[in-house]
Amino acid sequence: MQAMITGVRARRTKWHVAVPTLIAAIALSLGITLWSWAAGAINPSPTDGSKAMDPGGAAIGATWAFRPASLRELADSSSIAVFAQVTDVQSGPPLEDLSGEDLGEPDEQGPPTQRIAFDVDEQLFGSAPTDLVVFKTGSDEAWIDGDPPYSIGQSYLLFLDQANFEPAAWVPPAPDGRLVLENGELRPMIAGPPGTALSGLTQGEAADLIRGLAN
Amino acid sequence: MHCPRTTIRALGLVALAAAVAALALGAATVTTAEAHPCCNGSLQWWHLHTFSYRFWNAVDSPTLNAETNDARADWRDSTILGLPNLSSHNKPRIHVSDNNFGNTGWVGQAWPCFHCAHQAGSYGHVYLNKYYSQTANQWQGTACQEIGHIIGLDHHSGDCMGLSYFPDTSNRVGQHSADDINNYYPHPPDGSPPHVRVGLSADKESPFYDLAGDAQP
Repeated sequence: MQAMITGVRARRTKWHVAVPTLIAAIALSLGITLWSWAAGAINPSPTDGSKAMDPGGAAIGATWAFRPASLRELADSSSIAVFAQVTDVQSGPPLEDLSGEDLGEPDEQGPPTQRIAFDVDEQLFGSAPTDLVVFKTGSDEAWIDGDPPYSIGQSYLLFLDQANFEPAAWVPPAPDGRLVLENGELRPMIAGPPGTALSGLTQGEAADLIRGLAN
Repeated sequence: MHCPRTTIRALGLVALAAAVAALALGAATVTTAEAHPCCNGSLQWWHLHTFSYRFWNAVDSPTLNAETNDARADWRDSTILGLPNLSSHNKPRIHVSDNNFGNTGWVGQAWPCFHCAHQAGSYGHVYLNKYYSQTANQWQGTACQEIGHIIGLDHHSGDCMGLSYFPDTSNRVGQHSADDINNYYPHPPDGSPPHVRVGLSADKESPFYDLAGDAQP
């Protein structure tokens, strides 16, 4: 009888410990799994510091023709550098129309393009007009990794060249040639040496740095 | 005597809990570190039920055409996917062409044709911009990356998928990309049921058959 009572007590003691422990284990496992899943869902791409910094949504995969190794190289590859504010975003003809060639599918229109209108606020080097239009591949729904949509009213630091396929338009020579001015500080759209050099600078600080390079 | 045994069992359960937690953490970490599906995991271009993409190389420039063929062969030989070559415009699932698009900033681009009705959404077009001058190997790298986008990969370091985004790259398909493709197609990262490839030929150039027995192409 004593043995039976002791056995019952032992079993009670075991379940008293086991149940909360198991619940804790399951909760811990679920918590870690959910945390990891959430982290992956928020940022599923590698974060080694060289990945594009725009939020998700890029649907056009692309290889850039040029990525400058320094701010100076970016400046040397650009005709003008300006601080400018977006005044309008317009859809342009799709790429197929631009090229003038049948690119294949009878109902294929090719990737979308946009024309971004700017008022120039400050010219840093080169001969920039007071207002200009920038060519962009993509749309508000689909864009190239590192080149997210522009927002009307937003100010940017732009390094630009004239487009050789559309006389009135300008293009950044590299995705590094576009930084957004947010809360008084510059933020690059894509990670790289120019972005590192300019990130966090005010408009005045960046202007001094860039004018210094040009001189 | 009973208390120590209970304590040992409790400690065992704690150890089990720790092991389960460690396994969960490890599995989640591996998933996060190795997963690079394109376009936020939308799998928008993936042709999962055949593992096969009919490939039309319509590039005019002889050099770019040859490098596009090399890139196609690289993906075919490095992965479980088939990329059977088409000699004409017969409903390709990957279509590569070249043109002088001007100084747009990009040297290559992969674009899914959302509104090509007869292609049912599983069609991607690679554009090579021959305005820019590159070496033959660089053109192979560009074609390699754009084909990689269409078969489902995002940018990542170590091989052609990192070109113009990461410092450590190559112009070829790397083990990382091959592993991603070879893992994703049988086990899609969106959680959809596992897929099985059937009807393969050894050279992966002959027609493939999907699970319903339909020839592809």
